[in-house]
Amino acid sequence: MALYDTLASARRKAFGSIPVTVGAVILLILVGSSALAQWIAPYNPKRATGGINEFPSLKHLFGTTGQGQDVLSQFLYGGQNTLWIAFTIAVLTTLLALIVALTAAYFRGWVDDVLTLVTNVFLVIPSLPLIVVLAAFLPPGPLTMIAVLTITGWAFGARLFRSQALSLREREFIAAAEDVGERRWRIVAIELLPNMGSVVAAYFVNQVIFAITAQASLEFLGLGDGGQVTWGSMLFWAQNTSALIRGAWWTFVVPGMAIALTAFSLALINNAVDELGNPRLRADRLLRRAGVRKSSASLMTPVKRNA
Amino acid sequence: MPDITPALEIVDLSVGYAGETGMVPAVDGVSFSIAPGEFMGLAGESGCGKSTIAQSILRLLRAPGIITGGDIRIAGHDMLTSDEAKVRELRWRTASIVLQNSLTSLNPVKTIKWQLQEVLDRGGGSKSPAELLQMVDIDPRRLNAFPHELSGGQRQRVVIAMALALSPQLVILDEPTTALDVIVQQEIFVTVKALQQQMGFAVLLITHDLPLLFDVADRIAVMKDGKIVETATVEAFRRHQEHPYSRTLLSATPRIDFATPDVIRPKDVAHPVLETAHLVKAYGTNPLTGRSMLMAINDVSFRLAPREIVALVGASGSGKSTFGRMVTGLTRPSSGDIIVDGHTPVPVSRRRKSTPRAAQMVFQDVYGSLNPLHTIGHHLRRAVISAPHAQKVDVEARVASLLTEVGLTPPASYLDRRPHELSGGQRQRVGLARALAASPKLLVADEPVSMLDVSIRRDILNLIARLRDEQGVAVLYITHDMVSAGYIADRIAVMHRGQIVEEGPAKAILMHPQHEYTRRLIAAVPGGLGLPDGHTDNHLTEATT
Repeated sequence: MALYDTLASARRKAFGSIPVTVGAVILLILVGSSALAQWIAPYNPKRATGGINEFPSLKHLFGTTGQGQDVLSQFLYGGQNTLWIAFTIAVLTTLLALIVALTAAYFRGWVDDVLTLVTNVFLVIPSLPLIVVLAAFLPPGPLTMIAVLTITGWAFGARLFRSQALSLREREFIAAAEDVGERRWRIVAIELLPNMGSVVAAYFVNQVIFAITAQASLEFLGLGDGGQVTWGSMLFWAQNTSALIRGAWWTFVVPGMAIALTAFSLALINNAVDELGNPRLRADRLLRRAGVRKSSASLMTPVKRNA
Repeated sequence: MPDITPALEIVDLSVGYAGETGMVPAVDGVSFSIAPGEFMGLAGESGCGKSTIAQSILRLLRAPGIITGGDIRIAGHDMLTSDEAKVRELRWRTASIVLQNSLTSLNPVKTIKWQLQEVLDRGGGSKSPAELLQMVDIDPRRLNAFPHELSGGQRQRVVIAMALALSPQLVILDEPTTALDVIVQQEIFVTVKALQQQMGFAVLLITHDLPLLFDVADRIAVMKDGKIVETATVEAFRRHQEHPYSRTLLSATPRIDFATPDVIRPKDVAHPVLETAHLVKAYGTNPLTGRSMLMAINDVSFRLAPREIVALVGASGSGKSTFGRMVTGLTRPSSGDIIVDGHTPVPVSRRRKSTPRAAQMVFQDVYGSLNPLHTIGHHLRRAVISAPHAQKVDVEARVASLLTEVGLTPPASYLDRRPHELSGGQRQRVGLARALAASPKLLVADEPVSMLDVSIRRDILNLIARLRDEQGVAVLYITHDMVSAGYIADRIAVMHRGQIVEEGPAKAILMHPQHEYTRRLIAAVPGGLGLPDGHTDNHLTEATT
């Protein structure tokens, strides 16, 4: 019930603002078209169906690659592979971070010490070299990608959630729940966790962005599965067939734009999520709606007569 | 020739907050003025708009606040038509403000010398930081202290020194002592009044505490729902209140009826509901020497009989809350014994469903002690389900009867509401119902009314007394407020630095305090205890015997 109400009011607030609507529409188009790739893609993405580096035409709307594959079909199928991996990584890192953070914050003592130490170790390890090493040793494929990025991506979130949970834990309603004799796991799941909603949501959105860009980077470096069509491997092949030198810009602009647009739309959505957890952002929006133009740096209460 | 420009002149001021569905008015056509050197008090309950006014004067009100009409003039300077540069020029130089929370008013990483100098650097101040500290009775040797090294009272003094650094004509005090205890409050106002005599600034004091205004203010304005309902000099106001709301506010303040003698309950020595022996709670124990940094509770032996209400009184930091938390099992003692209804309290972490809960806690923070995301029904259902029961209970029926017991009727209309839809008083009633769910023998009420508005405090205290009468529950009432202790309690125990320094029947303690610390606590009560005139010690002795 509580969660439903929160979501309902989030929806009301979210679609009140233009940037969020724009972000949601872009994301919906990207996700929707990728999901329907089987039915709407004109060609098999892996087969050469045209000439080499053909300029976009009616036959090949986004042109063809250095190996004669259709870029539009690759974009659609690649989106499918890229997005499900990215969302899976985001879900897994968020869950892992939450589990570590809530356990540490709730039990404190030596449990907290050990978990915080582990978190810090993962934070200190230079993640890019670790990612490269792991990806190079493990057999290439989506599961490797998910495993590598989950292992390297959760630590910051655990830090963030732990501090949030620690401050919530000091609130009296947690002590009150303990006093009436609630079980620990219930206190964590029912009393504590729902109050972290906005932070978790914001972190999740950021993690999707992280996962997409990290995945694309790895594949661009050739550490992904070369046989899979993803946005990252499209960039890899564009680089390998010297698309830049030959002027075949459509082969790298299309996947590049796809990655950028996904990140952009998620960032716009994140604005609304931020507002849930930050009353000051909401206050500024309300002021604007009331017809007061106020620079956010100003420390002056505005005067608006007959408002 | 005397200066006839008022220090502050507010004409027809309206302030609102921008909301999702348009403006929500908070202050509606308020007018008043303060003469130079005058001490004006603005009293009202939470949400009446008094703090909105205080912050609007210097145009410090945060978004989404908007001033929607009227005029504000400080010593003749129009605040509403001035541009940003001019307003900044006027802040601190012509008028300054002291806020409630001194911890957030001061920068934690700078010394107070640096922070005082920062104000002085704006020019116009004739004093040095050391002189400013001396002015507010702080040892100038503490100049290089950081805010966290000072006590709450000292920090608030530093903020007051800052507010006075540039000799403004007006100082706005927005609930400056609400977070401090009575003794510190009294000392601070003695200082402020003395400085006002010397420097001649005007004061606007925002507070919910009418008796405090009787002690310090020249004139009083009472606010309700964004409007000022009455303005009068203190002498006139004390004698007669024009507006019915002022009368309600004043009569709601708990008063001790010294005419009725203390009820001396037969001490059931064999079966006290609570007994502690040589209880100690130490923090920061050094593992090598075994010595502690802080003794929160130092060798307390204490008894509480069934159906008895005992007030545990003390200033903040005296250890009274720690004592309450140990009794309910929320905190574990370092050494010593606690027996509640024949058992040692089980620590919350090892509590099982069948563990009897003889002592239950009622919390201070009515905003923080209920989970904002859950309904009232959820809170009470969980408390009933988690409580140990001999046989199966009908949860819904039990919840409804709990709500009825605490005066929330009809129960059905409260079940689906969330905490933010309730008033502070209603929330505390829910807190009481939750504590009663396990049918405890003892309620530990930790400052249950200190965050509530004055007008509902007495209702909650009466409810607690009624629950004792009807349900036979004993109450440990933890408070810093001598008046409410005398109002509700059978016995008073005074706690000072982790020890009980004085204990006895409530009215006897109030009338004949033995310990020096008890005397200071009583003397610091704003407006006094309200002892009727002509009461001599002899007379009072008769009343208690």
